[in-house]
Amino acid sequence: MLTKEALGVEHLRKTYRGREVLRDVTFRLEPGEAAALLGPRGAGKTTLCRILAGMTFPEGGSVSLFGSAGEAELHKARGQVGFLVDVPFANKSMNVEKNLYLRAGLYGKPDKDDIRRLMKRLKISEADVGGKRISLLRKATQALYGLAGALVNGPGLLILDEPLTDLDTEDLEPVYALLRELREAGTAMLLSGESADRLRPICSRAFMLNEGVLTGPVPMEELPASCAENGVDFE
Amino acid sequence: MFFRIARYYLRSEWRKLAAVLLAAALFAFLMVNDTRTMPMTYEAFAAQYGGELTMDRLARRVNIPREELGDSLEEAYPAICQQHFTRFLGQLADYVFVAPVLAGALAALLLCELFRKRQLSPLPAAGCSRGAVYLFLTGLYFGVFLLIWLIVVALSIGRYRIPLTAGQQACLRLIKPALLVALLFGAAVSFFFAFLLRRPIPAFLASAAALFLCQWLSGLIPVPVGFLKELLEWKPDTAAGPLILQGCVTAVTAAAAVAGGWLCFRRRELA
Repeated sequence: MLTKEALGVEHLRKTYRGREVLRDVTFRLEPGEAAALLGPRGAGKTTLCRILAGMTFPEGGSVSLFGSAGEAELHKARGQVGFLVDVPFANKSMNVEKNLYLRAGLYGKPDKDDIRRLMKRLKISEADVGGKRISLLRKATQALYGLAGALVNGPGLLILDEPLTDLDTEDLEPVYALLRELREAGTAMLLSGESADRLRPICSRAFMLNEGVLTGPVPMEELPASCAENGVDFE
Repeated sequence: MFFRIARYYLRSEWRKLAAVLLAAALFAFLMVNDTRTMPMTYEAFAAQYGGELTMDRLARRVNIPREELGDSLEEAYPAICQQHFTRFLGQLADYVFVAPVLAGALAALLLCELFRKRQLSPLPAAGCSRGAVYLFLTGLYFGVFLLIWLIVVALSIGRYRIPLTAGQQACLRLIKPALLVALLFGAAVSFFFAFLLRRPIPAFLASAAALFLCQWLSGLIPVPVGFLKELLEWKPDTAAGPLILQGCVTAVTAAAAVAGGWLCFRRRELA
């Protein structure tokens, strides 16, 4: 039985201020697959993630989520996708739990217990966050909050733009454990970063984006040579 | 989907929404308060001005020439009502000029706040269509103006109980749609500038300037709001025509503003 691909991107093009930031980008992700999107700063990774999140529009090409055909199905399918793009959205007057509750409400009726369980899994501790506003938390906790926000709806696909860059080393293991669990349950993932180092424990293959051109996929173990060929720093 | 969008805004922006509703209600109440300058019924009038008050003192109190008041409270009451109605209508007419400028300019601020990128970006990412978001926020925006109108009509015009001639009653009936049309015109113009400029302060200033210019022009040409001149001269029959024309102008302006806003919003970058 054929299963629908989680993410399909066909010939995507995007121009910013006369500069082509994405050129004919085409790739697919299957359910349960975790892929890294590597590239130097300014390569177009965040732009690609924004297009996938519906925050901006391409000049050409198409995106399909879970085999969606047309705009209406694409909108509906977004409810099954978790995004972390740019700085995580946060209402400045609210604490972590209330912000997560707000985000969860966009997908349906939010459950406070589910949110607390998620915070516990990611080790967002009550002592660390309390009633504090998000902007007052340490950077790593803000990054964990961003990840939690992408996971509140129990997504079938995760699009995470530099999700691990700001995490402290001790924060990584609970995140890896949760992402592995989701991957084994069938969640597809696209994680972007400038370095493959932190993405290696999760991702099985990598795409490389440089000056808007996407190459790959390449198995993670073959990564150093491929990166050099494509002008991408491996670490 | 509308329910999810509404819940999102109510949870995340409830302070701003509450402040706007409070400002709208306060604005409407101030209008109402300013137009309720004397007791409405004869009984209340007699209770306030009866007793040992002489007709000379009454004339000074209500600022009407003594010879127009007659020799008793029953004779004075219609003259005072006449004067009160003229003042009431004049004040309402002033508000028809002022309210759209003030309300419209402030509303441009509100609209820019509601359509901030950072505020909006989670919505399409969560599967809420841009059309639904736009319809919701547009409805909320025009709903605030409707609220102002409803409060003014209910608490001021709707409670006007002093005896009026048929012509005066016709004028009073016309002032209700006149106020609504004027408010919606202000809403439409500020809606346009909010989408064009996207920044709250420039949108506020541009809306205020544009609406003030429209009001000034209406004094020179008979098209917008010129019907008020007819109303103030108590010519309800001749005022109806210009009111209908103003209504059509407002409807077209509002439709164009909403359609133009959608064209700007539907492909707008939210990052």
